[in-house]
Order: sequence, then structure tokens, then C-alpha cells
Amino acid sequence: MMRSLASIVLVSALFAGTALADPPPTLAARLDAVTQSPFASAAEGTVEQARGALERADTLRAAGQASAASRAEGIARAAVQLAERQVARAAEHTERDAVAHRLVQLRQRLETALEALATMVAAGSDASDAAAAAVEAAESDGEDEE
Amino acid sequence: MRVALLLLLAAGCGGAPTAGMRLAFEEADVTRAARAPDLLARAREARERAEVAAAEGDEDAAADYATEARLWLRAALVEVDRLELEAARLQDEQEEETLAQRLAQTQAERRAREATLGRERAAAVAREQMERAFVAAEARETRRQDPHAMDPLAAARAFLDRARLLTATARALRAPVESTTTLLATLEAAPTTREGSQALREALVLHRQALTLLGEARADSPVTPAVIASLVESAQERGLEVSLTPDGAFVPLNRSDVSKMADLIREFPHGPIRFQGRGARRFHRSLGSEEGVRRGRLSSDEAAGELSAQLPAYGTAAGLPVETESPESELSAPAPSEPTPDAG
Repeated sequence: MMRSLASIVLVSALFAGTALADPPPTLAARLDAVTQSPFASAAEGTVEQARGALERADTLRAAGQASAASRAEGIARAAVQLAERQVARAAEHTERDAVAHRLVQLRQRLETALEALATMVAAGSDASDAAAAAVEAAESDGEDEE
Repeated sequence: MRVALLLLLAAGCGGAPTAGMRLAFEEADVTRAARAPDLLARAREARERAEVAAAEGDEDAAADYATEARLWLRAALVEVDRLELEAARLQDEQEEETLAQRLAQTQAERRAREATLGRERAAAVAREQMERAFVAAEARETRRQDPHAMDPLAAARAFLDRARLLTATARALRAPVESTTTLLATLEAAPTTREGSQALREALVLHRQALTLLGEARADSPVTPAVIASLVESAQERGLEVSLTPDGAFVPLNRSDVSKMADLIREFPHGPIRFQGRGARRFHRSLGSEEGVRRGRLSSDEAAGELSAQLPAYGTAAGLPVETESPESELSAPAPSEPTPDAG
């Protein structure tokens, strides 16, 4: 759970990167952060696509094709965003599963506790019945003697 | 999740100036992605650029923008997935909190019931002990052998223990400190290793003193349902049966129940006690000689029928809010028309 929480914090920090840091992290840095996440496998294909787009943008820019390079960078930006969301979703999935698991356990514990309480209540009424029977028996003994 | 990006070739029929390309998202995806509006907006912007590029005949640019649009839309849909998971998690966490509270309450209730059950069992054991001790006292009084009677020495110890509790209760109810202190000291010093019958006799004397002290302490407080319950329990310990009615507590009696009744009168000081039935006057007279019994509370009505005592102050309505003048309030003091008190 700590890993997934850390990942959520990491991804949230990336989303808010522009506000938290100056200058904002580059696309390459954001991709590195994604690949370092415990949930990186959730974005494997997208990360490859983003890296490919970034390389293509560099190549096109070096070749003087600024417009095509800009479009490739646009693809890389969208892919990085998608990769980050995929990691965040995987982290949330894990977190939600953990909570759901705890919930199942808690329901079982509550069920057990309620059963124990019901047994206790029954035992209490049994004890009361036994006490009443004992009193009755004692009283009838007394009457017999008289 | 599969994002469909439809590429529609809109033929320039009807003399359209340009042959264009129209990119369309699946309606269901758009509806769903609307929960991530920023990302959907980016997808739409990229789609528009793709359409413009297609309209301008720049197929490479149109393909790049279409790819970008598809990625943004996927990002939007993934984000919606995450939001839904988050909402489900928060809901689960709320339920978790509720269940945890319920679990804690259930466990606390169980512990409380365990404690109550333990106390009830301990009280039942103590009650049984006292019942047997009273049988022993009665056997001693009537000089009868009773197979149910406790060994006199054990009975003496039970009476001394009970006397300590009664004295402590009397002290809690603000009985005079000197009296309770003296009695407690006497109880502490009471030897329990001497001959059983003598030990029992001495223990009974101290027990009666404790009952009297408690009765005096109770006299300043009103009769409550708890006091009535205590009356019933005390009577039952002595083998007496109590019927509660709005007119008071009724105790069917045998002629030999004088000591038992005297104990009840000592312990429960409120209001008059009327004896009715066959042998009522004689029972009344016998009680008059018992130590710690205020004679002014007693009256008798010799009549046909079973002998019984009526304690009007301990009726079922005692301690409850009174809407009008209750029978108990009328009966709580001896009425002038009642039979002459203290026949003895």
C-alpha cells in the first residue's frame, strides 16, 4: 500500500509539476518518472510510443522540419500524459483492491463479532432461565417441606 | 478499452469546394470522457487540427494530429477509469469506517454483556449462598434438621459477609459514620472459628444490626424501582414470595416467618405494613418484640383467608411519575381508619 501511495504522490506531483517546479519537467523527465513507478508495466506500450515520438521529433528538428517535429512532440506529449494516467489508474486500482480486501476482512470480523454477541445474549438468557428455574425449584422444595 | 476514431471521407458531392476528411470519436467514448474535460478538450483540438490538415491535403499532418487526438482521448478515458476507481475506493473507505465503528460497538457491547453476565453469575452464586445460609438460620431457630441447610459456620461467614456489604451500602446512603464504622469494626473482629451454632447466632445479630442501619439510611430516600427490586430479592433469599401490584407489595406468610418478615421490615423502612388473614394479629404481636422493628408501622386485620403482609409503599407505581394522586401516596402513611397499630 505504501508503494501505491508513493506512486500516487509521485504522479500527482507530476500533474502539478508546472506549479511545483520551475522550469516544468521535460517530457523525457516525466517519462523517466513513469518508468520508475512501481506501476510502470501498466504503461509500457505507451512509454515506448512516447519515446519513439520524442526521438522522431529530435530527428525532424535536426533535419530542419520544425512543423513535423512539433507534431511529433505533440504526439509525445499526449503519450506521456496517457502513460501518467495509466500509472495513476494502476496505482488507484491497487489501492482500491487493498481497501476492498480490508472491507471483506472487516465484514467477516463484524460477522464473527455479531455471532459472538448473539451467543453471549443467548447465554445470558439461558443463565436467566436457569436462575429462574433454580428459584422455582427452591420454592417448590420449600412448599413440599411445608 | 478500445478507442475508436472514425475516419470518414466526406466526398465533395454537390459541388463542395474541397474534398475533406472528418474525424469522429465514438459517441459513447465522448460521453464517458466528458468527466475528464481538460483531456477531452485536448483531444478535440487535435482532431480539429487533423481535419484542417486533411482539408488542406496535408495527409502526414492529418495522420499525426489524428494520432495525437486518439492519445488524448485515451488519456481522458483512462482518467475517467481512475476517477471511478477512486470514487469506489472512497465509498469503500466510508463503509470501512462505518463497519469499524460498528465492530468496535459490537465488541464493546459484548464486553459489557460479558461483564454483566459475570456479575449476574457472581450474584446468583452469592444469592444461592445466602438462601442456604437463611435456611441454616431458620433450621437453627426452629431446631429442625434441614438437609438443604448450610454448615452453621459457613452460614455464619455468609451472614458476616453480607452484613459487611449491607453496612457499606448504608454508609454510601449516608448512614451515621460512627454507627457504620463501629459495626464494620465489630464485623471485622467477629471470630468465625468458634463453635458453629454460636458463631451463626452472633453473625445473625450483626446481620440484623446491618439491616437496621441500612433501613434507617434508606428511610430518607424515596422508594424507587431499584429499591422494590431489592425488596423482592431480599424476600426471595429468605424463601418469601412477593407479588407486586399498584396497591403495594404482597407477601404470603406462614406463622413461622416472623424473623424473615422482621428482616424485611428492618431493611425496607417505608410506609406501613398491614398483616391480614388468619393469625394476622398473633403474627403482628410476635413481630412487635423483634429488635429494630418500629411498631408504629405495623397493623393487623384478623380475617379469614391466608396470612399475608401488605407493604403499600412498595407498589409497582412507586418511583414512577405520578399523573394524579396515586394510591401509594394515600397509603404511605397509616390511615386513621386503619386497624389500630401495634396490637402488641
